Amino acid sequence: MQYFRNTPRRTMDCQNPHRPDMLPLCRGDSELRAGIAGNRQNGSGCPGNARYNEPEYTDQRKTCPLNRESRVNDNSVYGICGCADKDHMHDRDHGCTDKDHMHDRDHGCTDKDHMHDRDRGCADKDHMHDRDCGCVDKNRMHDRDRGCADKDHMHDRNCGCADKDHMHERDCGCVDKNRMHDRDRGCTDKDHMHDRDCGCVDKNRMHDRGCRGEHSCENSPTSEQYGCTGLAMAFVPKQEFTELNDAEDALCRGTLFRKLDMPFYGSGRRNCK
Amino acid sequence: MNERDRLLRRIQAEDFALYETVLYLDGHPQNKKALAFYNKHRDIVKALREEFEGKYGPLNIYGNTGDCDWHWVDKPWPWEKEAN
Repeated sequence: MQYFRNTPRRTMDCQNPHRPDMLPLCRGDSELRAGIAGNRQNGSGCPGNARYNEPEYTDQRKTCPLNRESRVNDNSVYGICGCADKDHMHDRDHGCTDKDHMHDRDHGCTDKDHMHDRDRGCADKDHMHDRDCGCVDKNRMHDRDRGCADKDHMHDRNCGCADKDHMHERDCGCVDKNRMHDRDRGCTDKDHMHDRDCGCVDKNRMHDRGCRGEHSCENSPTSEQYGCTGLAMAFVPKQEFTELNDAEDALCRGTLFRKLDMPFYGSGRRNCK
Repeated sequence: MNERDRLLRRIQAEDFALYETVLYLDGHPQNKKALAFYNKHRDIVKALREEFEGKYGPLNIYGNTGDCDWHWVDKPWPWEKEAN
C-alpha cells in the first residue's frame, strides 16, 4: 500500500501509455471490451477518451473495472482476480464486489472463475476450500483464515464472525462467549469485532484487545471488586488427621493422608510394593 | 536390598511421614493427634538415624561421631555410583 501512497497517480491516455509493455486500464464496460479487442489487434490500448492509472496495471495482481465477461475473457492479460471498484482495484489481494470492504486483505470476489485464486474469498462451494478463502462451507469454515458463520467453528483461529459485514476479514472474531476471550478471537462489538485480536471478557486480558463491546469488562457492574468472573462460594472441608498411611506407604504414595491420595492415572500407576 | 539400604529406606519413609505431619501442624497447630504422631515419629527417626550412623557412618555433617577421624568423607557421595 505504501507504494501506491507514494506514487503519483498519473492518468494517461490509453493510446499513449507510459509503459507500452503493459496494457492500459480502461473504464467503461463497452469501451473496455472494445479496448481489449483493440489491444489484441494492435497492442495500443483503449479507444478515444479511455484512461488508465499506471500504478494499477504495473502490478500483475491488480485488475481493472472490466465487467465479468471481459475479465474472464481476458484473464491472461489482467492477471488474477480483480474487482469492480475503481478506487480499490490497486489494493493488494483485492477482488471483491463489496464496496465497503473490497480493499481488505484476503477479501474475496464473487467471480466464480477467479474465486479459487489465492487470497480470494468466495461463495463458490467448489473453491471455498482454497487457501484464505472465506467460505460458508461447514466442513471448511474452521480452517485457518477461513471466515465462517458456523457457531461450532467460529472460535477457531482466524475464523470469521457472524457479522456479515466483517465476517470476511482476517482475524475477525466470533460471537461465541466461551471463546471470545481467546487470542485472535473477536467480540460481538460491531465496532471492534474486525480488529485483530479483538475482544475478551477477561479483565486481565482486555487491555490486549480492542474490544469495548457488551461483553467487555468495563460494562460489568462488579468489575471493580470482582473483575469479570462471576461470584462463587467455595467450601473446602477441614482436613482431619485421620486415615493415615504408614510411613512406607506414605513415601510410596506421595502423601501421608489417604484422602489426599489421588493418583494420576493417565500414565499408569506406580507399583509401590 | 541389603540391610543398609533397608535401613536407609525406612529412615526416608519416616522422614517423609514426619514432614507431612509438620506441614499439617503448620495449619493445625493444636491438633493433638498430629502432635502425638509427630512426637512418636520424631523419636523413631532419631533412633533410626542413630542406628544407621552407628553402623554405616554419618547421614549428614551433624552425624560424625568419631573423635579421631572425619568419617563424613569416607562414604560415597550422592553423585557417586556406590551411593545409588
